[in-house]
Amino acid sequence: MSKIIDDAFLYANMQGAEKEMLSDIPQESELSHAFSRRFQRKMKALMKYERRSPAMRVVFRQMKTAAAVFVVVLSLSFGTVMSVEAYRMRFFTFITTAWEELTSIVTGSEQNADHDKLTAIAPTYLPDGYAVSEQKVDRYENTIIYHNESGSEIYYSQDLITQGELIVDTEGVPLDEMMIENQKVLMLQKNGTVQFFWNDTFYAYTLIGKADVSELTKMAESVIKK
Amino acid sequence: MIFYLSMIETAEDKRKFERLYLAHKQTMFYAANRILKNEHSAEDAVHGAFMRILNHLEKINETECHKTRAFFVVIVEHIAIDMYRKQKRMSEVPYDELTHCVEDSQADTFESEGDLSSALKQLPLNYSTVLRLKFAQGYSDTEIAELLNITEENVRQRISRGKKKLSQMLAKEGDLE
Repeated sequence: MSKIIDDAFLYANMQGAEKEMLSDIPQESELSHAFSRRFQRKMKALMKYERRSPAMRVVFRQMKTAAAVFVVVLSLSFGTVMSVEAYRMRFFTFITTAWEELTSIVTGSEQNADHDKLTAIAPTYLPDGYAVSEQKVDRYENTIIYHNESGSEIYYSQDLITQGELIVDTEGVPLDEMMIENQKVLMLQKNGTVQFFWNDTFYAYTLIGKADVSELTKMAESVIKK
Repeated sequence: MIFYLSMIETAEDKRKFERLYLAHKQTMFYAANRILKNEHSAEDAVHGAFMRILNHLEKINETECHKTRAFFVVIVEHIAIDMYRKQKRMSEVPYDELTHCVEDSQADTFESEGDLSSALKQLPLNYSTVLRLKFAQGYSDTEIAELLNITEENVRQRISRGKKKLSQMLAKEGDLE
């Protein structure tokens, strides 16, 4: 026999069917995945972004519209966030706009490089006492977290460039520009944390740490020279 | 006055996002991980889902716990499937062939005629997602298009094709009985 599926049938039965489907999933209280620090940093950044005033978020949404493909990247004092699904473009341009508390870096491109795959590049220089404690490399992102014995952390990421936007939580502190090996690098110092941002043709790089500027400069230099 | 009211609403929303995150993150991770089979990728899917939900907070009714849970699951599944496709490359895994649990889908069978739940599990996810958002969650075609980053025309097309496939699946099951 044939069952005719019309809207009335679906409105009447879909919630019950969905409830049954969800019964396959244990209750929240029964689950206990230990989320990675990387994830927690990203969510913390997202929550901080969400707490911004609606007016500020409207500005970002308007900027979103301007980009064909858009991703919000949030950076707090420790961590950079990027949505995996938006890594599509390269050959980008930097347009940096400073707002009262945030700095927006919009990247744009006409060329699609959807097929690109990341080739991981890691710093060859590390400040004394630091070693790799966590690393993740996939098609789009190469993230390395370094720690020293006292627990200080340096975060490095190399991301396949997308058309999108980097939102840096500068909290009123302007981004400085500096040159390392003929490469323009954006730098922010806030509460003892130093953040570097730069790009080449294919990748955007982030280096963040509570370390001496000269030490982080050497780390950045070791990547740029490659 | 309107200014102060909008401030109250904003403060409420601030708490709401964090409450929703704490209440559903494990469930969302579980739903994403059973598709992606990779904890890092599943966490990325959960994060992506919250980014997607960020601008739709006003549509989420926290008092309807089951409905809210279902909404979070359907959004994270949609994002996980997008990621799965990218990982496997579209040419290898046609979207129309991706079903609810991807690898486990063949294990499901209809238990009886009209078993909509079993049929939904076997329905390609691009169809079941829009059907669930429309008929269980009550979202309009426009809202679904915004949530899934697809066109309204695409939403209507998926609803139409999903209903057709669902009808065929239930009819086939009926013939078997």
